[in-house]
Amino acid sequence: MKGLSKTFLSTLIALFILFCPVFAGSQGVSQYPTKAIDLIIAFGPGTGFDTTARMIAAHLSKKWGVPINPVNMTGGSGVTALNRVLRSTPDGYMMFLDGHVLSSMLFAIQADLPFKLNERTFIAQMTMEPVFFVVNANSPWKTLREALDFARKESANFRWGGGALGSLNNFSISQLLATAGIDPNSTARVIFEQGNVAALQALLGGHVQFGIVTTSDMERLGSAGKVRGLAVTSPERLKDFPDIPTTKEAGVPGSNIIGWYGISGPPNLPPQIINTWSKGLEDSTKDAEFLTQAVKLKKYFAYLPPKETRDMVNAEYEKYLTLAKQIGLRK
Amino acid sequence: MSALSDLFAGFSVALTFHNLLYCLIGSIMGTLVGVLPGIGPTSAIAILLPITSFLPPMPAIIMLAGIYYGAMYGGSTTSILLNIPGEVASVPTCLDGYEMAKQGRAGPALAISAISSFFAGTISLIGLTFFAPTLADAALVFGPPEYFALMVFALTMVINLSGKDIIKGFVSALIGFLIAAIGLDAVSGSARFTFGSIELMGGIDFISVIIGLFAVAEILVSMEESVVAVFPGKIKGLMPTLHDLKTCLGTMVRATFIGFFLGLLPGLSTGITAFMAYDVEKRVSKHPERFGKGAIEGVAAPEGANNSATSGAFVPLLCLGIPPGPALAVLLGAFMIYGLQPGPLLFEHHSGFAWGLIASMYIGNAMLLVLNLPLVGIWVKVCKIPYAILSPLVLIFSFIGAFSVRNSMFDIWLTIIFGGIGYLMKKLNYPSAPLVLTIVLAARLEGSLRESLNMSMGNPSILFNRPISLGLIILAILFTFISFWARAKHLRVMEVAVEDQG
Repeated sequence: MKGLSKTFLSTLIALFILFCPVFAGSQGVSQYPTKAIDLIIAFGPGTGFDTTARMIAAHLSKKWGVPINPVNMTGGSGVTALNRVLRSTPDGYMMFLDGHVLSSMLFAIQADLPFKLNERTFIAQMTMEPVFFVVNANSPWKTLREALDFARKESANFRWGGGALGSLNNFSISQLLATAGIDPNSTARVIFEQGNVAALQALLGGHVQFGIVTTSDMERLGSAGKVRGLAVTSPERLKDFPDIPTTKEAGVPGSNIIGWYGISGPPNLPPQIINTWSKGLEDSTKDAEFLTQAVKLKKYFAYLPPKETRDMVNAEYEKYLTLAKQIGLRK
Repeated sequence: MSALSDLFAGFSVALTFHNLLYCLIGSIMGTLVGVLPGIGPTSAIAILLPITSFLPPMPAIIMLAGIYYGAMYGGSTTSILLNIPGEVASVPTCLDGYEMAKQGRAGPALAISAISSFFAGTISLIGLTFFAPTLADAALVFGPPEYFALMVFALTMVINLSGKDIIKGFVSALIGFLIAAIGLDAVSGSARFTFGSIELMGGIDFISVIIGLFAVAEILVSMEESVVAVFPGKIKGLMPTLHDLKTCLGTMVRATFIGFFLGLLPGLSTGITAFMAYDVEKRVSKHPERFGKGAIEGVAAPEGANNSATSGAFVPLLCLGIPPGPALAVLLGAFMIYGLQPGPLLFEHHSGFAWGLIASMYIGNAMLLVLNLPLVGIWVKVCKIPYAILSPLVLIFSFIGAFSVRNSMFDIWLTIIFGGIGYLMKKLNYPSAPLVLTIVLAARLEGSLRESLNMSMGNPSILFNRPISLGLIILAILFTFISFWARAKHLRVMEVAVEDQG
């Protein structure tokens, strides 16, 4: 009798566990999302890319009541992750954090990628990353003009930190030099494949003289007196950094590259899913709690809806393609 | 002595119940994460980042930091018991640790690992406490040419790790370079050895390589030899003998310094640090031939070094805001979520927090010693598990670990392929340590050379007209000669011994 009831009990428990999803998932199939969503992050933890993704994931997860799992899939400068996501089923359960580095800049550099720029569903642009041109606080250059004059006179000794090939550093500083009439290839461009952190380290150590940072690093290293911001690429001065002139004010209005992060999905995503995401993302940029987080991480949110995002990326691509060809970055 | 008074103030913060509890949780989780191959502190800290939304900053950061240095305690466990390196910093531990386990000395190996980790971890924290700002600025002096010279110096270790046949060691090292080259080159954008495959464009992750070469290959060889268990006999001593401890005292001191100073340099993999400590130990030993056959110093050195490296790593993070590696980069993210800027201002504006964190690390190391020593008795029983049951479990954990790095099925296939390669290498007596070493070194060796040449617009003299890089290159050449001379002497001694016997 004892043995029988043990078996009976365990069967009951097993059946209960088996049928739990039925009890839990009693929402209709047409109601999206009903289960966990994977948000693919093409770069490693700790990068600005990753931090932004996790922030968005945490917020939307709370709002929609389903887990949104940030999944890091590194490798191949983002191509590995793109390959995985762009070939997945467009059911809205695998999305990815998109950005200049995976779209406009990547395609401007790599000519032979296995997919096309528009072979994805752009959902929204979320953040904007203006670029600060910085020097070591000990540097003799107090203005952007002084730095550019040196670069013009002694190009071979002008050492600047570019991140990996398709990175914001490389593009923005190359554009800056080009618009100031200096051939970037005549300067000592140091490519740090480990990314901007390594370039910053070299800047602090005096091994390179010029570099870029984005807002959070500017805040951290600037207020600690380690770096001096010479100019920022945004169209107007940023209220968090009132003492840093824009590139327009500094005499190089052609230096206007601004990075962006946003959300995209595999191609042919159904309109209902696009709407859910774009609405959710747009609402988050108005949510007080989300914005407080953003301020802490010094992220500037600027929401663009799906069509506008796609148009923006394509326009950027054209711009970067021209620049890449001009300075020999295109493979 | 204001650092001392600040530290005491930090202890008063760290010794509250709440903070102690989270320190303990972090240390335990770190150990567990370190034990599992492939899953490292980086993933664990990243997964736990959401706690920042409901915990105040002090306990949360204490816990996350505990995961980071706790992982270095756990990494040795599978290295010693199963020949699976928990992460790359534990690879040198496999070389002698597993041999010790096969000789029934898993207990002393595990124990000395914990003791050395505690010793090195705690002493190096003193360096962090008193010398951090100076050291942070000093570390910045290392630019691309200096890193390159350091990597060249590290390359000389291949000679020592090559065992009897140096040609085979070199072949192994060259294969390592070849494997490291596969992938999309971030600098030139060209695809190297990818044969048009998207997966290969992502490169070959070294975790797959080391899990394959060590764990899977070991299982294949053991299957062939019909191994019953790692050590089926009666296990006698659980703790190291007094003789062991005396031998290891010098080892632990050396490992502490090597680990701490190398840990200061951002971008330097902890694997390189652990190998260097192992190599130095072998060089200064009176009986270097014992290494690779179960020398206890061969366990104490890398284990101590990888722990003091964690203290060293906090120097650039806390003083400059530069994370030296991926795990601390995620921790930096946690800092930023709380609006805390690590860097010079952290000690000025949030002194209680900064010193509370440092104080908690002393406490964490002590907790980890107390946790790990009694566990030795339990872990040691793994050696008696029948191999028929143990090996499938090992395979499962290995594959999960390999998958977890990039969420990629391809990595599991790679692990299997490298298991096959490792098996062949064992049969043909090719040492696998040089291969691992060069895979770990290759990226930085190539990267820093290119950065240096970028800096000088292609002129290689930049490597030689800077004092530190010139000095390191000279040392590398010197050590190469010394290593060859020592090998020649050793071989002559062996020949003489054989003649005498014959």
